[in-house]
Amino acid sequence: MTAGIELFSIGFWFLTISGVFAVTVLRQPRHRLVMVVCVHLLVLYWAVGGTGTALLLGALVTAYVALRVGSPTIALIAPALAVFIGFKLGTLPAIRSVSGQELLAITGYSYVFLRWVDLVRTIRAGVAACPSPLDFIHYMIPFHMLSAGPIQTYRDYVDHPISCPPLTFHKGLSSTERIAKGLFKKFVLAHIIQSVCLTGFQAGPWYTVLELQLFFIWLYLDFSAYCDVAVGIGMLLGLHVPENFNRPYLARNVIDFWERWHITLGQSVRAHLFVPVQLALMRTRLGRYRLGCASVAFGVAFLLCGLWHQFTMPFFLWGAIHAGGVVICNAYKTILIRRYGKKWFKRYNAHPVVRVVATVITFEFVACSLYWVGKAP
Amino acid sequence: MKPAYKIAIRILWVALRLAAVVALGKSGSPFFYQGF
Repeated sequence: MTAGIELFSIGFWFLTISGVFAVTVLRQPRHRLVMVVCVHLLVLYWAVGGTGTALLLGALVTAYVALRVGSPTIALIAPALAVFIGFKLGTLPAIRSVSGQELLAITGYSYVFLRWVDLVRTIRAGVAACPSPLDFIHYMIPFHMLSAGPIQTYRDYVDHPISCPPLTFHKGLSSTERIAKGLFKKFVLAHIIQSVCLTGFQAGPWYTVLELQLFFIWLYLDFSAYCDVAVGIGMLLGLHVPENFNRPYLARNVIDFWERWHITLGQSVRAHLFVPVQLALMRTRLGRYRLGCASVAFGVAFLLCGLWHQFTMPFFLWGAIHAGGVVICNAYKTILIRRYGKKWFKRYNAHPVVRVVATVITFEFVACSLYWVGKAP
Repeated sequence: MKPAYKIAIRILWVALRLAAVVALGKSGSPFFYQGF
């Protein structure tokens, strides 16, 4: 739609970034917020069409009203949960033939769901006040973070209100550099790897070993590129966009990996799945077995995280593999500390050979975990 | 204040990358995470 430009294509980004530069002329935070919210709604309509937009906005309005009148949390979560599950299940039969835009709808709603959960829990905890309608829309469906994150927490959103300093030459250049970096990674580097090297693991066992490495590299380039563009757009608009990656290839174990890769998803999983499950278990008689409680909580969190991505067997396996990796890693660390003490563990961790071996093993573990996800049907 | 040549190099590098995006990039390719 829209003059034949596909969503999130090169043309889309050039058009959007030109619009973003135009919005920087607005110097009043409220004026800029109104304009940015209009852009969010326009892109949402572009992505999911009239029906999808109406459905999502309907759910959001219901949820917002429920939030305002102070219904119980379960009632607050229900509308978003219904939309989320409805879209996940409703699109399952068509998942093999859906277009990128339809897939965006699923993803977008998934991210909206996570933001909604965070918003409700933050307000319930008394950490932040209920947002205004404009802020609510702006927080829930930001166009530059809708497709592939990052997942900004509501606390982070409240702590960083929209700012409208004049667009200086250096700020404009830094923002453009970040956006150019993202577009280059996605549309040149990732595209070359994808079109030249990736076969969907159909090229035989020996090439599969190489392809696993390339798939992981391609995934990082593709995914982090989106975040680069989102951060760059945020810099231009005076919006805080959290970083989502911190040199993930240097991770030395799976727990470390999740603190470096899709950081905001890791934080969300920890805050809304791992910690509640672990606390609930610790309050029971099982609380004596701390390692066991943590292992069960990790397992539940990562299995649900896998299914959050898609209700399919490949993503269930991916979640299970990461759950297993995190549980083993945590148990290994705990056992070593119990047996040899913290000082020894610190020295062991600092040893360069251990570091290199651990980093290589982690890289291979994550690369291999992507096999079913990347395998062509 | 950064030297002018450093700023010129940054601008050139941005321009080169954007030119590569336009010249080599495949329009319309969805992001992988869109599929999640």
